[in-house]
Amino acid sequence: MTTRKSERCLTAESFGKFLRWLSGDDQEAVRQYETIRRKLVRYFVHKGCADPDDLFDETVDTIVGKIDACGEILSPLAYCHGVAKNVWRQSIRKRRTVSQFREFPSPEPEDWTEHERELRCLERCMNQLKSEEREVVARYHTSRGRERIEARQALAGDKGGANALRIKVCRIRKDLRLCVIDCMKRASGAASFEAEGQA
Amino acid sequence: MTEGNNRDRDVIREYLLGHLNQDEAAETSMSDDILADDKLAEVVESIEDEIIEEYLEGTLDPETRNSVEHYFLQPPERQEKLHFARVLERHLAARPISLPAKPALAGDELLKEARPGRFNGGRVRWLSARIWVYGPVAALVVFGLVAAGYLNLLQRKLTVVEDDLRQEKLHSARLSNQLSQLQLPIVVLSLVSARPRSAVVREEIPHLEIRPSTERVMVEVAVDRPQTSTYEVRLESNEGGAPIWTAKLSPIVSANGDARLVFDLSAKLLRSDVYSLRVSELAKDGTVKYYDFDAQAAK
Repeated sequence: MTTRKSERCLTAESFGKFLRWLSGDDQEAVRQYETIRRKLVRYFVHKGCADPDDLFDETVDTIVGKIDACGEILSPLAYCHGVAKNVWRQSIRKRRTVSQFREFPSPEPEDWTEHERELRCLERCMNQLKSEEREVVARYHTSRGRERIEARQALAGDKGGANALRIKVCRIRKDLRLCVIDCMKRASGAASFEAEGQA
Repeated sequence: MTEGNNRDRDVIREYLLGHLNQDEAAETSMSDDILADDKLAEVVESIEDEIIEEYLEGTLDPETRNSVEHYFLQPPERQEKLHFARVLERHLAARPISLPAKPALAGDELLKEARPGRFNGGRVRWLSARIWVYGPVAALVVFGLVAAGYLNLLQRKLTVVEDDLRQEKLHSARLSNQLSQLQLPIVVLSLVSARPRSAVVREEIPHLEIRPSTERVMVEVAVDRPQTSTYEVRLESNEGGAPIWTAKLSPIVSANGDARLVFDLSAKLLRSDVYSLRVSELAKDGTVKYYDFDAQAAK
């Protein structure tokens, strides 16, 4: 799995100014910020950007620079989205000038200890699913080729149609993925704690 | 989006692959809709999963595959999704989850259930072919389970026996310890009555048991009111000959006038036999008495 270190980050000052612009009420400001962040990061992901978090920070920086001049904004989300589109277009121009080569995760695990840990986490997270969800995942991924298509058609019949099934499986997989990420964090934390203890 | 509205799904797919980027109106419309509609955002996410799945299966056409690698998979989040999808697929292939058993059906219903919507004579052959394939596997599994159960039983019995043995060893060690405490290196031989040597009857004389741990024999010989202050004591064997051991000793006299000769002999001097201690007063006309004992050296 590849991770990129953020090249820039939101300063505390600009973050505070952005929150005040969203709402005078702290809780409401934080709620709006979380929604805007989630949606704009997704927007940058949909646009195939390699660094969605950085582009979001850049968007906020741009907005903070315009806050005093922009007057009253009825929909901060729509305004932010407009700015995000410009940031994305600028990023495309930059992207054309740099190499787009990106190394994808290797099909074979590079670290087998890590892989084993990941499998254990996956097993644990699978066991935490409701039995109905486990059954859906198992049936959805059963066999291959023609048999898989037929199995999914049968499953879709049980779950209210193909789109409903796809969304259901998407939700379950998302929960599983987040559960595994959380489990891995805990496991690597415990492993490094153990290693420190041994040292 | 309604069920079966594949045109929308196709448009979303084109959007996710970056194919709408040249059509600004379509691109803006789509991204605005996704931003405003959480349900649509969820549909978009499920299409993302679909693209990743097809990429892993290798069912994408070359142009789409190229778009996936050079555009769609650029965000780290999608690479993470790809990685997870690969792990999940492998995991489920290697360790399929056992699905809950369906209620037992009889006859034709059972065959229909085997492949929904495809019931015909061919299905019967399909099932019987599967029986020949899975039958031996099932038998092997049953045999394996029985063998595993039997081994488990043996293992448990072995564990019980090992526990007993361990307890016995502990008990034995405890007894040995107690025994060694009982086996003192000194034994006491009290000789009170002197007998004429000719009248020795083995069963009536004092008995002395010499254990392997015995190192010294503490001997007490009661003597009459002494006429002299010194006695000569000789240890003689039953066969006669030269004395095995000799000493000149003074008696210990108690307040009430009883006198005893107290001395110790090395246990190495004795073996299983009848011995005599010849005790004689060194004074002129002193008496000579014999004190016999039967030594038994235990092996």
